[in-house]
Amino acid sequence: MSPTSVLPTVTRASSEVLAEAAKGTDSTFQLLYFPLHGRGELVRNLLAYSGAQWEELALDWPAQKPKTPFQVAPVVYEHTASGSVLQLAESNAIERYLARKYNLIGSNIWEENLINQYYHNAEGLIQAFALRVVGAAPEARIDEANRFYTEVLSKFVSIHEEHLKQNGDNGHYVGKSTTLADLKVVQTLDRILLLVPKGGVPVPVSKELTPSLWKVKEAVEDNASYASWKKSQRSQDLNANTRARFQF
Amino acid sequence: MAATNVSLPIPTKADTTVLGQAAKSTDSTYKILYFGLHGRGELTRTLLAYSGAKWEELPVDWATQKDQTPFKCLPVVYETTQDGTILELAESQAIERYLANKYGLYGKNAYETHKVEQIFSSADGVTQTFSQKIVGVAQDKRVEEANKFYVEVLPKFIGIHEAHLAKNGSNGHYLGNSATLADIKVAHLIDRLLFLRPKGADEVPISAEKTPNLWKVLEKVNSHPSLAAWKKSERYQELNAGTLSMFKF
Repeated sequence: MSPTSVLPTVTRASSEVLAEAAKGTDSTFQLLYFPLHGRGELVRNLLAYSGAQWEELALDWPAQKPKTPFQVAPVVYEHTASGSVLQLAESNAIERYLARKYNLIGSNIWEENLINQYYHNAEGLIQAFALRVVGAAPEARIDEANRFYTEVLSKFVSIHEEHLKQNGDNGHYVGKSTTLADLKVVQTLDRILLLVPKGGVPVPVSKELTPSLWKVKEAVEDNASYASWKKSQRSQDLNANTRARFQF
Repeated sequence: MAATNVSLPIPTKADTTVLGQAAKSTDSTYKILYFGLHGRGELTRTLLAYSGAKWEELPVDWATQKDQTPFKCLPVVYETTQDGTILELAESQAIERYLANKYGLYGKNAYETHKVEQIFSSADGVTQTFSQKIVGVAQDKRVEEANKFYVEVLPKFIGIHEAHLAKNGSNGHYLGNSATLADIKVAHLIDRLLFLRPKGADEVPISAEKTPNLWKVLEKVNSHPSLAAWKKSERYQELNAGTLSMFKF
């Protein structure tokens, strides 16, 4: 982790110049986000998956907040090989930008649309989870989680298992390789698997219960730099912090 | 427009390379399946109208149609391309991006697309908060929640966005000199906020005087001829009424 909490100076230049700089795939990245998963998880996953060099900036939110484009985190600073510093903001927008840069958004407008479709369907699931389970008082959580698993998650699972089978049950939502859709769904399931109420039933997502979805998870985790990130102390700390923050 | 036994168009089965080729068509016609209110269909209808493409609505018979949709939810849009391929588009935010991309409203390169997405995401956050905190609460709490929203949530959004628009030259656009999905999304949000003001709540703090740059964006989007025509249509008025009725405003 960088010892300084001073934010990088963003390059001021015309849109054309910045767009040219943005084409680089040999950039390094600095991420500003809180020490939990939250809206930073998929961004961190994508940075790890890409194999790019990246690090986290030290957080000093009261000082840094006014300097961010929308006064929210995450913000990512991209240092291009050509020497520009680009400022990326809004988690969904950052995720798409990284996916596009690292060929995880399909090879044509149709594939991109399919990927977006799965992305947004998963977003619907995690929002329902946040509202119904994470948002419930701790003493109500076991009941709410059970209801979520049977009423919401089961529907998602059956629809997605079917879609995955239609794509050949190959561990991917679109085509034959990992895309943002795979990474988004895996991160969504990981979150649900992480935030299980104490004393609650196991999440009905597993190799046996959801074989096609599990294949997607395994395919993503097969990526060496992603796997290494997930094993890291920082990632374990983020798991613990996320649980603690929401009292799980 | 309730109907029974209305079957849906059958999407063409082909690999994504073939469908990707077909999807390049800018001469397509569209059919949208969505309920008789604005809801999650509004921005899709807006983009279809904005594009100038020929489009129509399919009669809804949800009990029969639900299982035929890819995610058992609406909207779904069926695109018939120049070469006769039928493409099935699902998930409102995916459809919105697809249409924006197709009709040149998504930025000219990866960096511009990111800028568009930043604004979209920022606006979407406010849209969702509004849905949860005002539309989603019991009628008797609405005035209180709306007034709170107008002083706690909106001013922050307004300050940030007026500044972004000033940085781009206060020209009624978020990016360069022409409309993008960013402009259309924000205009849609403003329309929604103004339209769904609970009876008795304070004025929405968005106007030509209070938020000149945002107002310019709204005016530019809404004066686009094919969109203006859509908003004057009888169907649009029906959707207004359907929205008010559904949410008991």
